[in-house]
This record gives sequence, structure tokens and C-alpha cells, in this order.
Amino acid sequence: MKLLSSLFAAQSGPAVRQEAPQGSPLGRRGRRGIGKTEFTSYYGRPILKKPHWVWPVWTYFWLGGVAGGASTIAALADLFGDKELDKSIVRAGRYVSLAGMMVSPVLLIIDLQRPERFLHMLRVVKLKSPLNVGTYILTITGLLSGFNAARQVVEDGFIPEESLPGKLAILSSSDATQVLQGVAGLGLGGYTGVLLSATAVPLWGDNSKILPPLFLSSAFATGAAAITLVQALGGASEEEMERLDGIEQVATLSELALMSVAAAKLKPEMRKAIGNYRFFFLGAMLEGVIAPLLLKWFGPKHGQGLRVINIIRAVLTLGAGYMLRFAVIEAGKATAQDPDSYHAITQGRARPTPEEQARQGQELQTEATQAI
Amino acid sequence: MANGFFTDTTLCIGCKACEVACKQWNQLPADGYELTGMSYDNTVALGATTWRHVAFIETMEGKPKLPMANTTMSTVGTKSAADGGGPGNLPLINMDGKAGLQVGFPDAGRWLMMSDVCKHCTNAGCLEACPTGAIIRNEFGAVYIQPDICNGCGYCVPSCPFGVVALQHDDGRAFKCTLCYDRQKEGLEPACAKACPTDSIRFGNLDDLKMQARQRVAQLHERGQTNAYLYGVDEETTVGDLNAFFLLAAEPGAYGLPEKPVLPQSRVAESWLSAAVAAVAFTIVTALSFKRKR
Repeated sequence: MKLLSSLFAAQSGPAVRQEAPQGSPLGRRGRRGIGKTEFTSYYGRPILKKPHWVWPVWTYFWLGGVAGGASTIAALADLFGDKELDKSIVRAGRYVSLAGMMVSPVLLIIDLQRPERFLHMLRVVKLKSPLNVGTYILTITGLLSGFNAARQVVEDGFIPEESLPGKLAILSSSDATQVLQGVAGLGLGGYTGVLLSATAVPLWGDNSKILPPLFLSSAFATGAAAITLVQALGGASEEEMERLDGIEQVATLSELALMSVAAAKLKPEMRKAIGNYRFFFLGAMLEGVIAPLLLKWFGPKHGQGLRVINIIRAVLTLGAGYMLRFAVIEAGKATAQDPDSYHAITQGRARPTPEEQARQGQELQTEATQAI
Repeated sequence: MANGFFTDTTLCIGCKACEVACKQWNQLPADGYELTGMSYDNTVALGATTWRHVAFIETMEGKPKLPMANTTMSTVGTKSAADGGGPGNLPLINMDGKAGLQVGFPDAGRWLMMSDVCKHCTNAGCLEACPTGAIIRNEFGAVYIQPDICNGCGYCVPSCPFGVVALQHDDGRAFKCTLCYDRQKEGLEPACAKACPTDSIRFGNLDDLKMQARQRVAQLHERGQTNAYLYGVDEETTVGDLNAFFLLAAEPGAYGLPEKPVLPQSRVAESWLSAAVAAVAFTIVTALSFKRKR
């Protein structure tokens, strides 16, 4: 017996936990100067499964952000703004948010693989599931947006105030519904970041504190841009358009800051897995932050020139927001397919060592023998 | 009473009977006839229609020695431990007749097999993520997707820390191992465990299985297999212990398992908090920017 065990000792002691040499299907070591990291993998196959999400999802993330940002900006403009000067912002904000809220649920429903069961989303309340919470946020924002936009429609004289729809519209909307829409809009702009963070996808999970503020920054930037676009096309005055410049700049610069932090602390494995998607992140920052700022500083300051510049800036910012959502989702999928990226965020001591486990097992064996 | 699987990979012979039995009992369609060319594993991964997957870890590069004591063989070239040969003064030869430790299959390499399955985690990422409540924990302690509720949102797929759940493309819903809910209701063990010819897959009460498993580790260590350890038992992870746990003989990564799995929802609170901080900051900035007089 002792003989046999000594035989096996010679065999299996170092046999399996040894380091796999370079090029082995079991592991690659120090690849491309990554340095200390050395992970084993199952023939380099993905550990995780990537989500099926494509254009409806990133379009919704973008559009929900635009609508959410516009909702909050409109509510704050009405509460704190100048009654005359900021009127066009409130008005544009309500319409932008209504437009977004009309398309968003459609995008989400067509993304479901069983769209006819979309109402199942509302059969439970699960606070730990950001997708579940988000569905409620979307539903509430949509309802309030409808109420407040209906009031705007009546105030703009499209529907007579004395008619039944007119009376209902005035009844359904108040300062309270407007404030609530502003709060819900914050949730709508931010929850998508939480939704991504609460997955096993390495890029998203590792940026759980950056994604929500990043998406919220983008929501404010794109929301303000959409309002500016409506103002510029609708013939608002220079003073009226200028009122949103501050918010736009704060939002875009905080986007840039958050992206820089994320890029600086990005793990080398993920940097490699993301590959060329980095150009979309870079493009989003150039298009959405740098270009609009340069246009603002060096472009025409008055007249028709300013109006054109404002339109270009708004379109660039909106496009950049779209590109950002696309890049985050697609780059996330790329890291989900990369076993090294996943190993990099699932390191640490999780269980007793083989020796400790054996000792524990021996004690159990002894107990069992004594019991007999 | 929670039931589960104890998959002892040191007993697995890679026959794939579990895969076949699972497909047959659960009426899962075939996955095609593609050959991977990387190993005997042409199933590749768990999926919507593959609820058991036998992984084959094959490599010629580890070259562990496989000494075989064969007293009936000739002792040509025999060396004792005293003069640097095999341990325990056993006559050892190579197949090519040269003296040394390596007897049997030269360059046999490393060949491990493991029947992978849904882990039915104590804290399951898919279950927490599911927005419809389609994913539940059933009376046998298993994580179960109710097919009449699932609307195919796909959020459970990236929320599984082990990459188990998947959407079935033509059907639209998410599927994974049910721990043979239907068979358990009739008092039967799951099809894979029933079919396993070496009892590598054991099914039963989790407490009993864990006791068996711990003793099995000690037994293997006594025999010299000191790399044997349990994956999914007595763990300090946010996922908790696994209702389908494994006895492994290599690092988790080699089997396509994470070293320390993390429950995705353990990040939800901090993530919401960061959203709230940003929301308050933007509200204040926006309000101030409107308040300023021209």
C-alpha cells in the first residue's frame, strides 16, 4: 500500500499544478509584455456568455439618456429658471422627452426575444435587478412625460383649453408631476449604467462606480444638446440658447474626466480584449467633448453663424452619446469573450487549499471510523 | 432539503453518457456535427441545448510520468531507487525498453475530464438579475427557469458568473439545467447522474454529498494525488457554495472556471450610490446655472 502511494506521489505531485508552458492550450504566460499576469484557460475559450444586445439596446440607452436629461433640465428650468428667458427650454425639454419616451419602450420590446411577453417585466418588484427597477423607472417617466407634454400642447394652443382633452391635459399635469418627471429622468439617465455594472462582464463590472455617472453625464450633455437643437431650429434667441451652455460644458467635461479615470485604471487584459473599440471611445470624446468646445470658443459668437454652430455642436454631442453607448456595449461583449479579462477580475483566495481540505477530510474519516 | 450534484472529475472517463442522457431525457436538439480539432471535446461549452458538457483538458506539454508497476514484464533495464531508478525499488521500464520511471504511455501528457453543469449557486446571479421573476429556486434547492414566464430579455446570460445560461435562438427563451426538476418530483435522480457509469456524477442531499466529497479529497491525498480539491464547497465568495460542486485536479482556470467567482449583484448598491451622487451633483449644477441672472 505504501509502495503504491509512493508511486503515485512520484507521478502526480508536481504533474498537474505545474505551470503550463507558453503556447499551451492551458495557459499563456507573460504574453505581449502584460507582465506578471498568467492565467490558465480552457483552450482560450470564453468563460462567460455575452449578451445578445445589439442596436435596439444601445439606441435605447442613448435615447433614454436624451429623454431623461431633457426631463430633468426642463423641470429645473421651470423651477429655478427665468420665466420668460427659459420658457423655450422648458417647452423643448417636454417635447424632446415625450418623443424619446414614445420610441424607447418600442426599442426595448423589440429587443425581447419573446416581445409578446413584455408585460411580464412588471409582474414582480426586484430591487436587486436594475433591469426590473429600470422598467418601472421607464414606465413612470413615460407616464409623467405624457402628462406634462400634454399640458404643453394645450399651452401652445394646439388643443383648445375648454375642450375635454384640453381640460384633462391641464388636470393631469402640475408642478408636482413636473418635479417627479425630473427625478425620474435622473433615474432613467443613470440606471442603464447600473444595469451594465451588475453583470459578470469584466469591463462593466470593473467600472461599476464609473458607468452610472458616465451615462448620467452623457444624458445631461445629450439632453441639453437636443433642447439646443430644437431651440436653434425653432428660432430661439441667442440669449435663450446661451442658457444651456454651462450645463453642456460641465456634463461633457465630466464625461471626459470619467473616461480618463476608466482608461487609466483599465486592466491590461481588457485593454487587449477591447482592441479597436478604443477608437470609438476616443471618437466619442473628440466628437462630443473636444469638438463642441473648440467650436464654442473659436466659432462665430453672434447671428446666423452662431445658430449654425449651435446646430452642429448639438448634432455632434448627440452623435457622440450614441457612439459612447455603442462602444461601451460592444467593448463589454469583447471582454466577456476573453477568459483572461474575466480571470483578471475574479482573482483571490476563495477556498481552503488542497492540503487544508485533505486535513479536514482526514478528520472526518477518523470520526467516521470511531463511530463504527 | 437541498439536493445537488457532486461531480468527481478524478472518476470521469469522458464517455459523455451524461451529455447524451441529458439531451435524451430533456428532449434537447442536437448541436450539429462540427469538430473543434482542439481535443475530443466537440461540445465546447454549456448552452441552451447543452446542459451537461464534458470538458477534455488534453495537452502533450505537461508530460507527467505515468509509472506502472508490472511485475510480469521483463526486467530488462531495471533500476532500483538506490541507483536512481523508480521509487520503492520497483522494477520499472519504459515501453521503448529504456530504463527509467516512464512506463506505459510515453508522453501521455495531461488528460483531465470534467462534466460541467449549471452550479445552482447559493446566491445565483441569473436569479437575482431576472426582471420577470421567471427564475426561481424550487423546492429541491435548484435554480429553475420557468419557461412560461421567461420573455427572453437575455439579462440572465451576462449575469451568470459561470457562463451557463443561454438564449435559444429559435425559441427566444433562456434555458439551462433544471437539475431534472421533473424527475426529482417523481423521486428519481437526474438523468446524467443515473447514466454516469463511474459514479463521477453523484446526486443527493447536499450535506451528505459534501461529507463524501471531503473524505474523498483526503483519500486522494493519501494516495498521493495532492492536487485534488473541492470547488464550490466551504467557499468565501459572494456566490456562496455551489449546489453542483466539483472535485478538481488542476487550477479552476484550466476547466474554464473562475478562481473566485463574484456575484454581479454585489456591485448593485455601490453602483446606485455612484449614480445618486452624480444625480445630486448635476441637479445642483443645473439649478445654479438657471438661477444666475443675466
